[in-house]
Parts: sequence; C-alpha cells; structure tokens
Amino acid sequence: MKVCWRSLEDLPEPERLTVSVRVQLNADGSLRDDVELVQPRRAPIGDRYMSVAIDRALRAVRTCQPYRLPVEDYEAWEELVLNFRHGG
Amino acid sequence: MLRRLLLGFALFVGLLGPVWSAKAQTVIDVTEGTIKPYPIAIPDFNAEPGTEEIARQISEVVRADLVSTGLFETGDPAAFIQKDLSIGLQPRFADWRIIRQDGLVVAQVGRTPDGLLSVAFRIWDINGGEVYRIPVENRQTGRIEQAAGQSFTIAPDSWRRLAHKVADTIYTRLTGEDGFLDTRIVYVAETGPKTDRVKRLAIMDADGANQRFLTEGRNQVLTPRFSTSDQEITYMSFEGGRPRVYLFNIQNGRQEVLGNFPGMTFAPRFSPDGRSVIMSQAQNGNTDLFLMDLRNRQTRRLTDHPAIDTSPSMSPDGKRLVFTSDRGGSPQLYIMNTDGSPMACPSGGRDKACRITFGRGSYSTPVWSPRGDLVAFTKQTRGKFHIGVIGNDGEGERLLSEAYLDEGPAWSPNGRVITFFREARPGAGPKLWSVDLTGRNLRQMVTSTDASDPAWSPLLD
Repeated sequence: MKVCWRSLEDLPEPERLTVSVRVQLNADGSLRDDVELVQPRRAPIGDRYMSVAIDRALRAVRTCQPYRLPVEDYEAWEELVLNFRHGG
Repeated sequence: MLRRLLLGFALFVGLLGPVWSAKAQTVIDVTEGTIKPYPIAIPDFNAEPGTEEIARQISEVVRADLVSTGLFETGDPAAFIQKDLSIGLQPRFADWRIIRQDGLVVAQVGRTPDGLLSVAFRIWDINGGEVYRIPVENRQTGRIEQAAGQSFTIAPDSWRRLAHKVADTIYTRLTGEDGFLDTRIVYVAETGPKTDRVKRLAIMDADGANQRFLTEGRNQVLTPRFSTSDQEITYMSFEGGRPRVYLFNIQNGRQEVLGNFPGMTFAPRFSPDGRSVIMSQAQNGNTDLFLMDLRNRQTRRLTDHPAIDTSPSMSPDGKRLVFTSDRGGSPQLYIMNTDGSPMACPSGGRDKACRITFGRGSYSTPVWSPRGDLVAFTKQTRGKFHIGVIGNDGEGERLLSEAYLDEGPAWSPNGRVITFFREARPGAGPKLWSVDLTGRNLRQMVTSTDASDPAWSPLLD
C-alpha cells in the first residue's frame, strides 16, 4: 500500500484529510466490489483538497490489488477498513 | 492470528500502523505513502483537418508543463496500445492499466467559425474506470457544475496559452492546487562585463517561452514585482542617477516614478489588493518602511527605528507585514501589524514588531506566501546562501536550496513553487531557478541572458 498511496504531505493541513474506505476482498486478494467510502461519505463540494485525498485513497486501493495475504487468515481480511491519514 | 496477519501485510503490501479486529472487520491505518510522480498518458491531441501540427505542438507543451511540476510523469507514446481515442468515447481502460497509467487525457483541437483555436478535453481515471469531473462554470446560470470535460478557445497566435490552460486544469484537478502554468515571470536580464553590466527588465512565459525585453537598458533596474494585475509591475531604477521606485505598465510601456521622496526609495512591493505599494526609504542615513496609497499618492510611515528596515512584504489579507531589520544586531525577519498597532509576539511579549527568525546567520528578502502560512527568505550562513521557508509564527524553518549565492525568492501565485536566482560559483553569471515548496524538483529555468530578481505574475486572465 505504501507504494500505491500518494501521501498527503504536500497538501495544506494534511491532518484534516483522513479518508476511510471499506473494501471486501476475494480469497485471491482481489477486490470483490468497488471500494466504499466510509468517511467522508462523498467528496464535499468546494473542498478541493479533500477531493484529492479521496482520489488518492481510492486510487491506492484499486492499483495495489490483488493483495497477497495469508489465505488461512482470510476471515480476518475479507472485509477491511483502511484509514489513509497523514503522519505516524 | 492477528500478529501473523500484521506480519503478512508488512511483508507483502507494506501496510503500516495498528491492526485490530472489530467483529469480522479489520481496521488498518495507512500513514506512509509514496511521493512518486503520477503517471498520466497524454497522447497527441486529435485534430480537425488543418490543425494537425498545432494540435501536436499543444500536446507537447501540455506534457512539458506537467512534467516540469515534478508531480507527473507522462507515459511514452510509443508504448500506448489504444490509438483510436475519441473525446466522445470511453477509452479501453485495460489497455491503459496494462501499461501502468493512472490517468489519460483525451482532447480534440479545432477551429471555431470565427477563427479561434479551440480545445476540448477529458481526463480519465484509469483505475476508477470513470471520467474525472471538473468544476466548470455554467455560462447560462453562472453556477459551478461538475462537468465531464472542459474546453477553451483562444486566438491562434496564443496557442501556447491554450496548452497552459489545459495543463493548469489537469494539475488543479489532480493535485487540488490552483494552477500556475499559465503565468509569466518578469526578471532582470543582465548582459555585458561585470564592471559595466546592462540590466534590463525582461519578461517570459513561466515555461521560458516568449522572452522579451521591457526596457532598453539605459538605466539599471532592480527588484521588479507584479501587481495583482498581470499587466503592472513596480521596480527600482537608477534613472537620473538616484534609485527610485517606478510603476510600469506592460501593455503600453508607460513608466512613472512613484512619489517624490527625498533620498532613495527601493525594495517596492504591491499590497495584495493592488491598491498600495510598500517600500523602503533611506534618508539621512536611516532606512524605514513606508506605504503609498496608489489612489491618492499619500504615504504613511510604517516603521520609525534607527536600524535599517527593508524588504517589506504583506500577508495575503493585508493585515500584517514581514520585513528585514538589523535592529537586533544582524539582519533578521520581523512581522508587524500593517496599522502599526502592537501585537502578541509568537516568541512572547507584545511589541510593534516581532522577531521570527533566531537561527545562525542572517535572513533577508522575506516574501509572504500567497497561501498565508509561510514566509520564504534568503539565508546566509557559514559562507553559503540558502532559500528557505518558515511559518509566519517563526516555527518550522526549512532550507530548500544551497549554493555560493542563492537569493531573491518569489512565490508562484498558488504558493506551491518558489523561483529565485543563483550564482553557482564566484564569477558565474546569475541564472533563474525554481524549487517546489517541499524542496524537491529543483530546476534551472532557461533564459537567453544572465538573469536575476525573478517575480511571478498572477494567473493570466
């Protein structure tokens, strides 16, 4: 994910640009459905930087698949919520 | 089990942060990412008959513009699989995914019935399999709507500006920043030997095209600065043997001296609303800051201190100033309220002027960022010069460059890029450079002569 997600460090006030998405994965690590935005639910009109943060999160999830994860733990990663946020 | 899962993520996909289970749903924080440029394919634009060559040239300028920002890489056209692109049709996303492009620009160049050049374009999100919506003003209602594409028209001889507008739209949609590619840079063009230097005002497009001189070079000029209009600049000239501040209209070439001050005036800069000019005035061995209202030509003293106060620059809201003063011993940066009232200093206490730099060395030529949060400056320390930025509260100083001589930072109108001039070694002529706010993408700009004192125009109309 590190190599797929463009970080928020170059955007103003990156601390407020956290984006959460929900994904459902197949056992082969590919996306079962499209990514679902959890927070914010949609791009707020007029908040250009948040739109960019959402673009970056969606792009990261889509480009990084399929995920190579231990099949025996499929139950744990079948449904994931990913929080993309600035800093450690 | 969770531990093993975490290890799995770390090993295979590099996910970071805490992992915990909430029922069947695992939550993962991703806090580290890449800063790699965004791969975007920009095939040569489709052309109506008779516009093939100019369409190809426009595509080239769009690609060059985006690559120059350091935030994009445009794919190699030889590797493109789909050739039958059309602005009205959805591209075959798989053809672009396989060559690892994230974005695709499809455009059409043509001529309007009244002879203008036109370009219509769409930006496709390859991974999302949809078009990027672009905010466009509805000409009938005046409302901003999320459109599937954008179009521009322009006189054919301004075709480069058409390309810059397309590039700015792509840049803005994908980075969230305002555009800055359809702009100009004014600078001091230097020719002749060091002992008899001719310094003329010159202007060029931000990508270095269309360079031309604005003044003839009979008088030395320094520190040109744009107004909020892209047609007016202020600068210092030695006309008549005395340095004074002038206004210059680019459109009609008219020049006028600003005010009839005793002594010298220098280091002028417009206020962000364009209604006044702030500058230094030296008289009887002391230099203070003054503000001139351009409507009634009345001046107001801003500082009254026996030290040298110079290089004033106003915050975007016009309420505060940053300037250089040696009142503390060495040249350092200070902020003050424009109305002269005392303020709470970031470092403590109340004063009419608050020092914000405390590092080793001397600081000069501060420029308040158009975003408002940062101040760019020149720093001299340990025999080297740097361009740097610092928060307007004096926090978070970062140096972005280092050379024998780096000086005179100026912000791009979106506050993302800084241009400055550099003498790489003793005796080397000055050249213009630019650097991203993050300190990345340091680039030399190509000018036909030696060049110093750059200033960036607002986004062109």
